[in-house]
Amino acid sequence: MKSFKLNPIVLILINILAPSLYIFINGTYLQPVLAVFCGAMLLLLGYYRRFVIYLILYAVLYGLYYGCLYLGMQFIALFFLVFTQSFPCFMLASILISRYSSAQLLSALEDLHLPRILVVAATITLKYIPTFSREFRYIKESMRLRGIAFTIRRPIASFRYFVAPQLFRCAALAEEVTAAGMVKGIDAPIRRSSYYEQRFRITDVLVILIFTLGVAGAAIWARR
Amino acid sequence: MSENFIKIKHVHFKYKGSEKGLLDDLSLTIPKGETLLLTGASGSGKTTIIRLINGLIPHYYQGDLEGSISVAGYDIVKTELYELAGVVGTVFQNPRSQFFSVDTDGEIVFGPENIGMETGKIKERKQDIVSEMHIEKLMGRSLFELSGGEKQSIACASVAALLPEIILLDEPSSNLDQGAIGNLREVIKRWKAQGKTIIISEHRLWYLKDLVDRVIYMETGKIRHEWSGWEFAAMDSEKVRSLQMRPLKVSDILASDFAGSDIQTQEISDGVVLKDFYFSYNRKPYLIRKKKFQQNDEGLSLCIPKLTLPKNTVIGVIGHNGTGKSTFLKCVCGLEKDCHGIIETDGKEYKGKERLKICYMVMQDVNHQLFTDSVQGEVLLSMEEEDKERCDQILQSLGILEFKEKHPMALSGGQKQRVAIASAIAADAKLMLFDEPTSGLDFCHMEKVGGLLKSLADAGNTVLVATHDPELIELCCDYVLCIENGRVGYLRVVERS
Repeated sequence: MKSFKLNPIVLILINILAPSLYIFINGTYLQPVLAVFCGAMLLLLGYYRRFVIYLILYAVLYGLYYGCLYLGMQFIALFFLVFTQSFPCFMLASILISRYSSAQLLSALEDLHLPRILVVAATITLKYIPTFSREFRYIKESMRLRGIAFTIRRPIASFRYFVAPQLFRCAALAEEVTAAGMVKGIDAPIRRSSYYEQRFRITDVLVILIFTLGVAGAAIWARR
Repeated sequence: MSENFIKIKHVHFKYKGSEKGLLDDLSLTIPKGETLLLTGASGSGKTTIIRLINGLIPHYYQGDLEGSISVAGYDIVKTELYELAGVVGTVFQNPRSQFFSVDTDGEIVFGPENIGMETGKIKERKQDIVSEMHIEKLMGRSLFELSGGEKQSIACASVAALLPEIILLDEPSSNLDQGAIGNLREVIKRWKAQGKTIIISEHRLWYLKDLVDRVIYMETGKIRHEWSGWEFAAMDSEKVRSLQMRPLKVSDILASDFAGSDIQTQEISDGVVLKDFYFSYNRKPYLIRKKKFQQNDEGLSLCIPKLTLPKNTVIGVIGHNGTGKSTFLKCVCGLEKDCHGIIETDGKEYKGKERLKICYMVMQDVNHQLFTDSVQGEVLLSMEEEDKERCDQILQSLGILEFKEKHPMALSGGQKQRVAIASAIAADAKLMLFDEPTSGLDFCHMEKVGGLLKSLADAGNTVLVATHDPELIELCCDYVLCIENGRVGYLRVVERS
């Protein structure tokens, strides 16, 4: 159902709320609720393949967690636990990134009345994700040219070769893109308007309602 | 007012942290509606002037600034950048790093959104700009899938959307091919007809010569020469060359119609033979490997059954953007794993990964290719066994021995390029590939690169250089190889007048 319309604010809000809920509700109960909710969102929005991939990944992470517990490696198990707990949020974030353009996200953030500096930082980060993957490809290619291709046999050397150029590129690109934004008035102290009109629809309300009910359910479940 | 639309008075400027001043007592007035060209070697202060007018100096790039700048009645030093957004628009050199959005629509409306224009008005404005610039077919697309020329069109549209009276262009043609430069020229022409004040900093001159009203030649932060548009257009090539400027006339050496005679590949007795170079982005890799396709299949991005390249020469690889030059280079050196071509040279065959060993590609952006913390380390990394003596020799031959201990990223663009070439020599690459090594270079640096490519060929390497610069081909290429639609268009001898 690619045509299903959802206001990005809903996803952004949930994505901000969900991780902080772990403070109040025991993760053992909250996490399955979040996972089911996020999985349902994926299906609802038509990301069937992604749903299957995430399902497998999720199962693997769970397996690793219990495996480590079983072997008595508490510390590593904790690492996997944190990973599984944040997994539903990754699922939502992936929807946000692939479904909405950064312009749409920017205007949604603007509607939330967040401080400008935060909005600008968020936009640049969002924009940097596709840029990063392109830079990553170039660097990987030139590492193969040099005969120092990324290998697991020499992880530290490989990682260093990979990170050094990426950092320099990152700094240069950030400078250029900021300059370009400044001359187009990105720091104007006025409320940004938006080309994309995002209205709140009944479906948005429903999604939020279901989410709230789910969280409430988890809280009650945890109390018992 | 209209005579002193932009007024720069006795400006001295030095970037923060640099020792040398970049502008030295510079004064310049630009009347309203003028089209001004700034030219001169890299580092002569052209970009600094652009940044003074759009306010990035002193508001973003900090440094010691003396003197006064007023633009359309605004005192730049006292005006915030966002107040200038609707007055001065800037098109930057590198289209990919001036975008804020990931889609074309979002990018065009980015400026109007920033200044808080109403949604209805933004829509109208966008429609006007799109139809004015004839970019209807680019709408609704991801910026990442556009060609360099298309990106630059969107950048221009995005700047025009704020209807600025002044438009600045900082080396706008650097990453464009001939066709895209033609489009850019049309855009500038239209802006000129609308009465906008246009200031262009540029090394490529041929496409601007009958468009500009005045030309300013910069040298070490000072205005050295000033010509009217017609004086400039009539300048003879001797003088152009003596000032180290790129040629004004390239109509006779345009990349699309090199006049040399075709050579048949069988005429080359001793050459580098490329065999079975097929590649496709959208066909299944195993079909390509098994050669299960028609030779005229449009889905093949590269289709070269056999090609003999003359050894120890410099071969210019030309063709429009998106026609397969980069794909060709990547396939030759073995970066595209799904291309199973064979390279035959000195009686030996190189397949698959072996190709990576005898080839080296210097990418357009060398910053991706430097991995270590010293120039010496960079060269040693390429050697099978570290040989410091040989490293020194290589660095010496490229004139960068003095930077041996320096961090590669601390060097200038040209020096970095030399470091990349040094690693290529150290790796014993027989086939050296260059992807647009001179985009954005001034004539002096282009001459240096040309000389370097020639000396590599003389030292026994075969050099393939993909380029949009007819000047570079004129300077150093022995042959041109034209790639059309992933196929060999022709291979010709370069005949010099």
